[in-house]
Amino acid sequence: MFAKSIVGGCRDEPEPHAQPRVHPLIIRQAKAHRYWITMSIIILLGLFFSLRHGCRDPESAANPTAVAAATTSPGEPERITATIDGRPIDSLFIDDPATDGWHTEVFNKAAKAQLKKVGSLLVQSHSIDPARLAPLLTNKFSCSGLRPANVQELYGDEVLTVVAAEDPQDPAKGLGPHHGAAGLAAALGRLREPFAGAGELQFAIKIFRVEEAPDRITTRQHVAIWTRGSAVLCTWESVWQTSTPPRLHTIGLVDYRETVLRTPQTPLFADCTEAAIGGNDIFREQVMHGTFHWIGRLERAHGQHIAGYSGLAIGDANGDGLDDLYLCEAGGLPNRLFFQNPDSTATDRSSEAGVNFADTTVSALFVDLDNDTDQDLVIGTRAGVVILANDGTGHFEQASHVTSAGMAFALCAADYDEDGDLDLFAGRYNRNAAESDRAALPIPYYDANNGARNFLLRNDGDFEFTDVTVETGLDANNSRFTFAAAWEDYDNDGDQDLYLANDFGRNCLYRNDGGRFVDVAATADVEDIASGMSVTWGDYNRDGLMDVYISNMYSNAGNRIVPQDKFRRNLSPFALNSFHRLARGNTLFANNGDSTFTDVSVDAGVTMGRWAWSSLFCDLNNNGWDDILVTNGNLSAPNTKDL
Amino acid sequence: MQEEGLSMSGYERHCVFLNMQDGRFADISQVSGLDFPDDGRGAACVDWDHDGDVDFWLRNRTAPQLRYMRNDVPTGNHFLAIRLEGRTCNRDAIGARVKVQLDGTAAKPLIRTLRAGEGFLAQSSKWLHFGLGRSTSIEKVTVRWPGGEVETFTGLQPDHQYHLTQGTGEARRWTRPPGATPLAPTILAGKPPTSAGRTFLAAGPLLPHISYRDREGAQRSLNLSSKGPTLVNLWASWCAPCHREFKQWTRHQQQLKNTGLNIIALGVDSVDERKQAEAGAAWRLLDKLQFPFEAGLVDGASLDGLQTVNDHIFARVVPLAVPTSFLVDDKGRIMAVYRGTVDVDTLLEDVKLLGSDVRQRRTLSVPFEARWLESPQHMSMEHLAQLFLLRSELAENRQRTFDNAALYLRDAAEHQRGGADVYGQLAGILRYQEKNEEATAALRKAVELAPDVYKWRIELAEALVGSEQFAQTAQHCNEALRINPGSSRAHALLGNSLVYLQQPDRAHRHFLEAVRLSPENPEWQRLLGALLNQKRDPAAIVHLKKSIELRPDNAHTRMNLGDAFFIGNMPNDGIAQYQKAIELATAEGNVKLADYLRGRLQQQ
Repeated sequence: MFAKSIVGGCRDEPEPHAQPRVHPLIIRQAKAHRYWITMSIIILLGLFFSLRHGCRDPESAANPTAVAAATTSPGEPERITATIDGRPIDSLFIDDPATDGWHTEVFNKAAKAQLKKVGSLLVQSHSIDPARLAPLLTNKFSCSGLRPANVQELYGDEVLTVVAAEDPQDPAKGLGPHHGAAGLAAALGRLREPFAGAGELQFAIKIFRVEEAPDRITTRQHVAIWTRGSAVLCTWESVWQTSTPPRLHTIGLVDYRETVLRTPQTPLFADCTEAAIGGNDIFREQVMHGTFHWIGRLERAHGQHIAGYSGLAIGDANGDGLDDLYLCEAGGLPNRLFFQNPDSTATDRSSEAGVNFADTTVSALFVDLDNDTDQDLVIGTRAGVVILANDGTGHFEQASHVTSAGMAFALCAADYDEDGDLDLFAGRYNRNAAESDRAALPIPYYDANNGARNFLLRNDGDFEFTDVTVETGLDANNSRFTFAAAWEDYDNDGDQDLYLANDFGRNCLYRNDGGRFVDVAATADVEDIASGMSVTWGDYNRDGLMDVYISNMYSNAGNRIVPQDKFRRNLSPFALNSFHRLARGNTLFANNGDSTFTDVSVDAGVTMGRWAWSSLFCDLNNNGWDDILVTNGNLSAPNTKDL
Repeated sequence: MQEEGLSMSGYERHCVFLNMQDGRFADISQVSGLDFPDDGRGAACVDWDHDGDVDFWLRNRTAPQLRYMRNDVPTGNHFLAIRLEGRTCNRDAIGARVKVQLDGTAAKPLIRTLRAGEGFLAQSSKWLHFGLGRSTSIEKVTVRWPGGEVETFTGLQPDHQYHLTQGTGEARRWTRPPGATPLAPTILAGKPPTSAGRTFLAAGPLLPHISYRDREGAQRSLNLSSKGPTLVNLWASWCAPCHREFKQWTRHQQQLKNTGLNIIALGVDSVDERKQAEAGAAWRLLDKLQFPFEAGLVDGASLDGLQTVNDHIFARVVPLAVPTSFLVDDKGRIMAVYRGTVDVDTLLEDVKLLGSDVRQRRTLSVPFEARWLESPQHMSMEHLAQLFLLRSELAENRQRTFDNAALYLRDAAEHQRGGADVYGQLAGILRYQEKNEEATAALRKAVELAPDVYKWRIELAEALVGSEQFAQTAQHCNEALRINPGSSRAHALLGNSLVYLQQPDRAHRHFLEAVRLSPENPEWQRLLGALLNQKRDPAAIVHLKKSIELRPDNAHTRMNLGDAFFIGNMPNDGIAQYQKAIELATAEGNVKLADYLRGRLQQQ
């Protein structure tokens, strides 16, 4: 029990060094969560969630007369249990792969440990001692060359070069095969060549496929080796002997890509945060502490939440021509407005500006809503969408408040009706906004439309806004757990259309037909049934048409599990396809110019965005071609052991 | 779970995809300088330092919450930045499409749309930034303003920023204000989380039930009522910081007592079986310190309660460690939590704050000056009760978790205008605790608040059957059937009360309906069979056999079937069923039933 945990821990200032024993319930839940989330939520796609109340059978009566009173002896106080296809959710968790029959997941863990040993030998030294590799290998180990000789330049400019091997496994082109530990040592030595003279190497490996045969197991893994200014990304295929621990029988190179900066000592981006805002007291006191710190200290009732869904907005708040920064914060911490100074530093003036709200705030927008040339501020809070009028000097007063649109993650503005003022779209996620950490379950999981209602708010002047969601047709597919939204004229007809990235199912593309909207996502082929988190528009191929990039989740575990017979059993082709799709990652839709799009994600090489949140098209190197930034990472915690 | 501090897809590195201009992208994350293992959320782009390339402000879940990433990509490429101002369209010109046509090349034009809100939880700058590559001259810039008007601007030079105002046809150069100094990059690592310290609560819950052993070893319950404010402290004999704070409190005992504050030091030594032998150490230590306040040795169930409450107050699960203290007001509400030691000055100050109203308390509960849109929010006591119920499954002292759940449900009912669900759940606990009268009262309240909810109707009906109030049972069953006509449970229950109300024919109809609706329910089959026995109808045998088929080991059904056989003049079969019934009743330990059956068997 918890109680026992206390005996191990003694708190001394400033930080306790408690070594708590963990509650068995929590261990079980943690195990469940490990697979429930990292294999993703995926497992549940195609299955139906339903909330049921546990049912109690009336029991026999105590009175042994002919007809007894059918009293129900009260059972346990009831709690709600979620079921999927009539089975309790718990039965679908892979609590422990070792006992749940997922041998391949157990194997994945063991194989990854072995490959990490190879990796640590690789990064340690240029000349690897074969004797240290030998225990990881079978007697008849062989491998292909791990850095092909026939690399060709894929891309090069004054900043960097990208080289790749077309078909590295072709022995005629490769350097292999190498045999035994000495052979692997030589191949690894060659793999280090691009890093000659570089500093400390880093190595990362992710197994994304495990295929089981009676006598052996084959895995495929992403391998990354990098240091400042150069990186190798490749895919290896390995055959394993299924001993304990498993031993490598072969390594074959499937693909290989090498990126090298021409001036490796100069990083492309420099972290100047401290120089820019470090002069503010709140930098150390507030900004330098993360969500995990605050949720342990500030009450949940304020809106503190582990997910850390709070954003930021850039805009010129005080009209001096310089962009300023608004930082949204979880409840209990004030939002911050940093005014930019001419020297590129910024000063927190949130209190003076009247915008240091401590209500849970997820999103913000600087827009001129009354066409008086200053930037008004819109914030998406737990208490609703709040509109703050700018007096022209960077001081704000509350001008309007849409209380029903709480927790609007997807806040964006456009003049949808072309009447000369900006209207607001507020896309929302969970219906239970007031208790934001107690999410309602999406039903059905693969196609949920039971989230919070989205709002289109028409600007009627004088900071008056009217909910026109229904009359404009935006009430179709309107509760799909919207994470993000962005306006764009995708069909080049002059008006603003709207794309929504939704979690748990299909996205929406609302075509604007003279101020009325029709969801054309299906016919335009941009439904992207997955876990949409972000949307960005850009003409990446410079054909004059706006293309769209959607953030989703990439899952190695999902990729490992979905192709297996054990998983595929009893699933429809639709469900299987959806599972594949869910684990695949981000999506790039190229605009065909005929009101349809083509999914070019895989060929374009932009799927692997991990657990992606924001994504942005932007031209990083000023060459006129839009690149993509993806920020990701779900929940990092002090305990790095991943669920 | 994540709240315990385990990662979930954590420490993933940001990705950067470089456009290779042939429809493909290269993953250059590792060399970009942007591949932080932060939990990234919003990302906004802006040429913050106006040096002609796009920088980023990144918003993280992890520390640091913000990163300003300056673009230092060493290119010789040119750029053009444009800020629009609408006149007849919206002033920000959101929705405008800008097309840049480069001169003297076959290059395809560059297009961008000005947007407000894009990506995830983010808005980028309204400056539209165009990379021009090696091009050194711009033929024209075309703006399609929102509303459709198209305007062309010429004379723009690369590597400059321009303001374009609708209807002017003129591009105005913009130059940054003087004073720019290059910012110095640093390696920025966020601070590790800590929960140590004081948290004054805006909306603290009641202290859960706490029990402890006093010096004489007697079991006592902490009873806070009429005591004034109390500091409930958890400590251990082996905990040096605990001793330090005890010494300080002892030195300043008079000051503390003058405020009316009580202190109870609850030792956790006895909770660990391995150290139970040393429990005396706690008392010896208190004696040595001449500790002037109340003390006791707390039990595990009480600590579990405090942990559960803690886990509800904060969204992160922080295992209790010693010392931890809870400042509780005279109504039993937790007003402040001190993790680590708490000094006398803080206590003296905080005791003065106990009378604060909800707004003041909220102000005290946050670390910075702030303003609020919401009125102060309460913590959901209903959810806290549910957390106790959830954990009851594995609790060592389940009664205690139910007591605590009931405590918070009552609080929700009394102070948070709890709805029918609160009363319904409370009734569930009370029935389990066999406090049937209170349970019935709670269910009446639930039905009063939600007269059209089937669940509470039927549960009330069941509770009323238990106390043999058959007329009322019938009334609520009828209501339940009005709401949910297909409920076999309501039909069965109604039939049952009608039997007692001496209306066997109506009872018969409802039992038949129950069996029709749920033929697989053994109890409905049994009830129908038993009624048919009463009517001496041989059809009873069919239903009772069906019931036994569905549920073979029920003594009552065997008895009922035995009766049916006796009625049908099949005494041997009847005796066999009775014998089986006696066997089952004995196995269940139901001596009363077994004796009764033996008596009946004798009569036969």
